[in-house]
Amino acid sequence: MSRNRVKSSQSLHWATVLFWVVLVGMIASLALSYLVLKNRIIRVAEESRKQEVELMRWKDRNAQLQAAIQTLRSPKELERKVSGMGLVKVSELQWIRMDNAPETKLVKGYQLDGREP
Amino acid sequence: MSLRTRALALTCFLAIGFTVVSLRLVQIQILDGDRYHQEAIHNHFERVEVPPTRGMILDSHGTILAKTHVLYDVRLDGKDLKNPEQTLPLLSKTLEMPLSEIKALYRPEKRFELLKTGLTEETVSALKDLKLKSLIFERKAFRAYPNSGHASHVIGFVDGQNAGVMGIERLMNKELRGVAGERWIERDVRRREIAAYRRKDVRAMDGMNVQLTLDLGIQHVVEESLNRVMEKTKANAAYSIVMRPKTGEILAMANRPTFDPNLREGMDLARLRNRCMTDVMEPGSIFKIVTLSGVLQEGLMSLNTQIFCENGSFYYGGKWLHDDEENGVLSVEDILARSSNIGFCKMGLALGEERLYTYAKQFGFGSSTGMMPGQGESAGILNPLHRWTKVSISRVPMGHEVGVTPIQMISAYSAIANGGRLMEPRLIHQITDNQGRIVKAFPPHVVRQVIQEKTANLVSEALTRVLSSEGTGKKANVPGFNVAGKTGTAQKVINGTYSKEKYLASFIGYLPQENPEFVVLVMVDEPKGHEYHGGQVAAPAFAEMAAQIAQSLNLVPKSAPATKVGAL
Repeated sequence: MSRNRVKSSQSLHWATVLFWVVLVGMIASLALSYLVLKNRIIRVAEESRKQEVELMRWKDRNAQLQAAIQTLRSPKELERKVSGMGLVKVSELQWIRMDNAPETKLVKGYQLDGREP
Repeated sequence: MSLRTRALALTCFLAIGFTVVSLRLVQIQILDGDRYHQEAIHNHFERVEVPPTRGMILDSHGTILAKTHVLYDVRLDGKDLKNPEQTLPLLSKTLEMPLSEIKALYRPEKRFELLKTGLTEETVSALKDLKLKSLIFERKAFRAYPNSGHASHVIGFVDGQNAGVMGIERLMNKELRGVAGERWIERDVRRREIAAYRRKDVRAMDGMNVQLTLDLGIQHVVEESLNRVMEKTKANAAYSIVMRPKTGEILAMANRPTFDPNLREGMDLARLRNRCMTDVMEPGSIFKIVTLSGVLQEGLMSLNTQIFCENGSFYYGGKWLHDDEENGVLSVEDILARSSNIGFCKMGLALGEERLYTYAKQFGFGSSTGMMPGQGESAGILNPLHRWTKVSISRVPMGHEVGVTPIQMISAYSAIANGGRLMEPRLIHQITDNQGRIVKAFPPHVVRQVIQEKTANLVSEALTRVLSSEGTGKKANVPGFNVAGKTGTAQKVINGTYSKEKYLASFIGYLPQENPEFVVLVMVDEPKGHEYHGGQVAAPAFAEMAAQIAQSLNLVPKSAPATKVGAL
């Protein structure tokens, strides 16, 4: 300890020292926080960019699949598959039709719509 | 040298050094500051356009008719490729290309050699897994038409820049294309984007979806039937349209010859023409409904009025007019059923030039329908009265000396089926955004009331007689339904004279006659062989189509003939 301080003529101002220590500490912590946050922003932005690319890839893949599904569902393709399976279209089948078909009765005395005859 | 001198020299040296550095800094920061600033922006910042996805074209049930998806082209930077002996076989395996082909494409001096086009996302992922820096991927939008040639003339196609060239693709290009977005990005020294420094990010607005009135199921029925007609008749061309008379919606429209919009390379351009709208033809007997409507509307005749058909030969205006049959006295209804030209000539004479012209105009002949503007739709030919010759009044009533398009013809029949109301033919049902919200709807539009409902019902009733056992259109009958329709066999005009070998066979009809749900037009241009009449060529095709369309629309047969019995 210097002689002046011993004499208390140039004593250390602890409050001032503390003030500067706190100030420097705050500035340092702010700077550090800034760096940490900035790094985090960069990381998150990069992550979000990657997700964006991935999303676009999935969208592209979906669009390709949608087009492929529609191609497989197209009447031409279905008809080709049906004929490959040996099936025949309904319109080419024969059917039974009756002229003046009698009215169907569900319950004795009642018609289909529930009305009494 | 003394210490003082050395110190002075060092000071001077440092002073000069600092001055030089300072001057250089002044030059960089102030004098050339703008230039360096621009260069830095140019090197690090980039404006990237975000392309929109083109909207889809859908049928009335939401089935995809046209859709854009992304495919990739892959290129090879020969200078960057390390160990080609090991890498090229890997590429060959992933790209499923012969090694010899890849080796032929590889040149160390070539930096942008195209290896393969049309790669899917899966293949690109597999290539990226190889971690080769020498591969360059190009993302490209590809317009797919999943139903190949179905309704190709209506849908159209796009060019290399994804702009519509014809059909709905062209007509609705503005709505379909969407709006590009943009992104201002900063890149690092290795050209990678620094995502955190993205400045402007305007998202692309995808194109809207256009929903048509077409029904893919009905379209398929029509396409397949036309294929069979073409195969059977070896005709030059064939057209078919299906329309809903109450709303004017076009349910199907097909042309032969046709094309597949997915395979356009080296295609004959004549195939691209939508003949249903562009081709003008002399309609022949199918035009007779105009004359019949006129005489009935004006109260000049009824369906029972008797007309002498001159036993098959009639001399008028210095020219002979012949019928196929030697008809004597026939009722108006029978004249239509047997399609007597002489009978209609006499009806036309009773109606007079002016009224006949007015009715033809009212039915929409001589003016385009405006269904697809800018696609070469023809207005047809309906000569103004001052250009009519002395014999015109004997020829126009039976469909000569006029030119019509198939779309005009079906619109006129739809008016009859719709109680005399002429509807505007519609192809577009609505426009929706990619969330399915309706942006714009296209409601049915009545153009005009051409004839009274009572008259239309009379004409419709008379048209059912055409399909009777004495009528020309008996082959157009559909079991279980009451069908109304008319046959037409028009001789084609070749070098100014009517050809005796080239015909246009046609049939237009609708069902059920009591409450018409759809109208079908079938036209066959120059059918080969001994069968060339509308009743022989077009009517059976109509019956085939109409039966399947009725089934597709869930129409319940009302009175099925007991003779049509079989077993499932």
